[in-house]
Amino acid sequence: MSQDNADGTNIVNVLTVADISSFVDKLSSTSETSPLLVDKGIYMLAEPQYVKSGLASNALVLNVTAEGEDSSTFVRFRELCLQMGHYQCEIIGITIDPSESADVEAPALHAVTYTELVRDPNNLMPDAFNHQPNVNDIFWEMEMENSGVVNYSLNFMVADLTTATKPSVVGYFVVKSSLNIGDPQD
Amino acid sequence: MTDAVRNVLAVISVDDVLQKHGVNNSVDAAVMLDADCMGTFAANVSGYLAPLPPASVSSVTSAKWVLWRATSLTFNAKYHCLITGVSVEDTANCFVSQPVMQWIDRPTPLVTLVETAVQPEIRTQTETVWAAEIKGAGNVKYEMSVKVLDHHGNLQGYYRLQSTLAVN
Repeated sequence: MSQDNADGTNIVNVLTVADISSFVDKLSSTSETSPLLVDKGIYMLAEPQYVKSGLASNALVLNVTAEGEDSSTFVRFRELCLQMGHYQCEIIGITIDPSESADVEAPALHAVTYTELVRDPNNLMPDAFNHQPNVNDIFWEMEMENSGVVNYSLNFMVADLTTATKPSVVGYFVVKSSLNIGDPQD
Repeated sequence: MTDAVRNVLAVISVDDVLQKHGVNNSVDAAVMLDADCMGTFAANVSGYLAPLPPASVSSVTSAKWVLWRATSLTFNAKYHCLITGVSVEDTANCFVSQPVMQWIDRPTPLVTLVETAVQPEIRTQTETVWAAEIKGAGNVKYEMSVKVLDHHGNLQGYYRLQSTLAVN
């Protein structure tokens, strides 16, 4: 788990790794409102307890410490496609099931800028980097003020990067999973 | 243009690594990571890589490759995971040679601002990967050496990880 030293809040990073090739043939008939429900080829990873699973339906059990009355836990969702350079997958929405979930803020898209280290193509030395400022770090984030279970759906869009100068949409899929944010005393 | 590539990705939870091992400054005593702070994944992909294979390789067409990459769970905004070496225990004789560092031009989606409108486009960006040319199917064990930098470029340590890979 990452600790934000500025205000003492907890940040949990969740990464979804998608093997698009295992279900890409089923994406052509999907739409944003009718995505493919995927339960294989999806790997969920999270801090602080590193969890790997081939089944997205497995819950990510995160025993997150929420110290202090005013502290919150911010869960950040990012995504990565194993077919880098061919397909790109992007989270386009996160839906919380309110009937079976603890009280959480609606997840929202955030972008913060940072200075990227970019390799110098004219210098092959391993430590030769140029500093590229103002690169976007884009992630979805939801805030939890209390412990509890959150059942959620991650909605993805898949784009093909090889077809033209602009990404072309291949289709849409959805992954259902859950988080269990526990009290430190438990 | 290659016709088949197997992408291998190692995801490292650097915060967990630093909490567990601290900053390891010794390249000669790189810490071996265990499964609770990293994950390795592999998947096939086809037909997008240039300029692989390099001119030094005779099989200019229809070559098959394994590419190794490493990333932080939090991506580059916090840490950079730089592969400094990949070695394979190739008892099944799957590879032409040991993996070497390669530069490839990878199609990358970018968002640009045209006047007030956001427009997606694709540009090629040069990327460093470790690659080995496949000559046969089998299972191999590999070891990856990784150097971790923070987003300021400061060293956060040298680490190693091991995993196995099924080569199609």
